[in-house]
Amino acid sequence: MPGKPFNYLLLKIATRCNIDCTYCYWFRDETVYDKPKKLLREAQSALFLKLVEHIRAHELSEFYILLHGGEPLLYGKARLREFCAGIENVAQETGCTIHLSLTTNGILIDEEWAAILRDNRIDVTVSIDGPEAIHDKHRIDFKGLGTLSAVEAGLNQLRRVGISPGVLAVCDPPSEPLKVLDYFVNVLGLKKFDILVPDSTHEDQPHSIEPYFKARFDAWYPALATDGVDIRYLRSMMKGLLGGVSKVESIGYGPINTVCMLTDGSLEPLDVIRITGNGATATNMNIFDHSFEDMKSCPVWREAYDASMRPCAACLSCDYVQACGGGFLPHRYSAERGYDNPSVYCQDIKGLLHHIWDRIAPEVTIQSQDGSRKRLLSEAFDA
Amino acid sequence: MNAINRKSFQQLTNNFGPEPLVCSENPVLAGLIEEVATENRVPFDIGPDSAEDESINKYFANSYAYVKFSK
Repeated sequence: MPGKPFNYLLLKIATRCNIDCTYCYWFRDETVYDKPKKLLREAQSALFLKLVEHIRAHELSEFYILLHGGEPLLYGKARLREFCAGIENVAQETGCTIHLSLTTNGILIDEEWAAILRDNRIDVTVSIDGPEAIHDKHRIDFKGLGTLSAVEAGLNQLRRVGISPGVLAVCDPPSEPLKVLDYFVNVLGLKKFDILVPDSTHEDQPHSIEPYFKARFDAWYPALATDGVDIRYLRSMMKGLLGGVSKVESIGYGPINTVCMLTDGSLEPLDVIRITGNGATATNMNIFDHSFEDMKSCPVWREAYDASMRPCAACLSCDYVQACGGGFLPHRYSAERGYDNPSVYCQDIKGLLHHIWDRIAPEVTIQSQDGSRKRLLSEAFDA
Repeated sequence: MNAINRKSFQQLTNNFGPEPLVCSENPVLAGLIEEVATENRVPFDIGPDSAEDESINKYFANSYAYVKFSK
């Protein structure tokens, strides 16, 4: 069996959403609509039992649960309070610290929601794509209207109760990245956020992301980065170029070992894999009859895990394989070759990594232990 | 070479000897180098499950255990 025991669960507490984002990966798989709208009570109870068993069996001191959707706040206030009380019981019973986080579009957050999230120590991330012209282009309601003003109200509500939420954006490649940076840093006052690539496979024709990300890097690295502004995706790329291992699944080499639990208790691999086709993540595993560790023998989960650990042949001979990891797994998919491809964004990512390397390598030195040989990293391979 | 990876690190050790020191005066890069040096001393936590996994895992695992951070 691969790896350590699972210590992370992606939990879908609501499958529907109150808005209609144009690029949403989740609803690209229509089988989502076959699932209950909210986490079933019996699935929730089974989860608590399985958590206790799993934590005890593997003597875990920490476990992480990301509450997700759809829009997770559609779960409702009373149900979330009930869920958190159940998690608290699991924590007390096992002595394990259970970290809860939640990703929301922010629209439903009112004073009571903010208090619930604060009182249950839930780390909150809000999806915001940028200023109005950028955010409201794609993050629209079912009438086609923009949602930013409601999201900002939710964000402010969180801040009023002392929560400093993270912010997660999806880039709009034709848009102006500096406007997003300016909005995040100078208007929202954010120090840490991420701006992700739109999810696409080789069956799509995604817009090039290279110019957008280069412009963003050039604006961020010389000034904002040294002021302590952290953009996770770019930071992970730099770390990978320096020989490190990325901690995020969307860039860098590492396994896709996520277990996702649906509202009916079914267990699946990473949810974004749904963009590869209807029912692509479906398994015969569920929280009632299976343990978390059983997922490691599930063929669907194993396919994702194995593919994430095996970049295609072209990637293995690429200078950037450590930094890129062969591409985010769903982005490698084609109907003809499955995951045996570079990312659909490969040329863009290569161009960006090359751009970043050219910027950072002259600022790094490497020297022998005795100090007799010293070069800039940009010249070190010719020494 | 345009990145530190397993192949290029071998070349760096050929050029600069074992356990070369990597450093930067840029605080952002210095922080990242320190992170890399610290984390790469911890064994990769992905257990191989087959001969193929084993070879792939060896390709990446602990490749840069000798990168050190210095100010």
